[in-house]
Amino acid sequence: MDINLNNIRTNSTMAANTIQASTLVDKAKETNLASYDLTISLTEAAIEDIKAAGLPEDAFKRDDELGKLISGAFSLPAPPFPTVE
Amino acid sequence: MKTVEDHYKTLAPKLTNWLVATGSSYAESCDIVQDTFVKIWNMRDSLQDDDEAVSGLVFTIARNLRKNLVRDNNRLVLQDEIGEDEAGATPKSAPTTSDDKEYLRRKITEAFAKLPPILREAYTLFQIAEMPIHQISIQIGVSENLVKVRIFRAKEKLKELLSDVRKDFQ
Repeated sequence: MDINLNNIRTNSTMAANTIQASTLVDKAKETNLASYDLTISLTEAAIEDIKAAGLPEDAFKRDDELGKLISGAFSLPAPPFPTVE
Repeated sequence: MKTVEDHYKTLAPKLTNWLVATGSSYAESCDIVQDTFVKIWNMRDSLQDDDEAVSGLVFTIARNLRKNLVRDNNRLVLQDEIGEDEAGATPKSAPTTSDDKEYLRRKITEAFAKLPPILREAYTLFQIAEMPIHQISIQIGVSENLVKVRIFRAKEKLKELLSDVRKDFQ
């Protein structure tokens, strides 16, 4: 199986929507690339592009349950504005 | 154009809490925040009329001040190297509304300390400093997609690490 790095890079969103590319990359990373007969040379950035595009949209909400818990805990007041001349 | 005080009102609470969440005591964080804004005040005539640029500058100055403080105090704890024993320490003299909140803050700080530094940095800037993803990308010098992946991984890990606490506070 041949995977063209440029295609993955430029079509990362499309590839990630199928999730298959991301899974494939994970598999390839976990194991020996050669054993999968993959002629790929993905850069770390290309891999992250694929994974990021495949992430659920609600992954970046600050007001989900975890976010509220953490923001609520870290609501300490700031010190007063410093005295400056 | 915003004044330095305007920026302070917006950024100082975020910066204070981010410093506490990433290993500084509350008292130390307050000092760093004030010193940061003294520097910003001194630069006020050359500040860009751009909230994100000012925010980036504020966080960069604060990080450097903390590094200097750690170095000068000959302490081992750096923002990216929070020791597990240090992480659970309750910020000294931090005002708390309840014991529950202090307990929760300690548990979360312990969980942050267990995250790999690159995940902790991305997540705390996102959630506590409330920086947009593209600004985090500039701040830490990696792509936006990499920031997203790090935030996602941090959240998944934190959900595991804080599972007991999340039940208690539901």
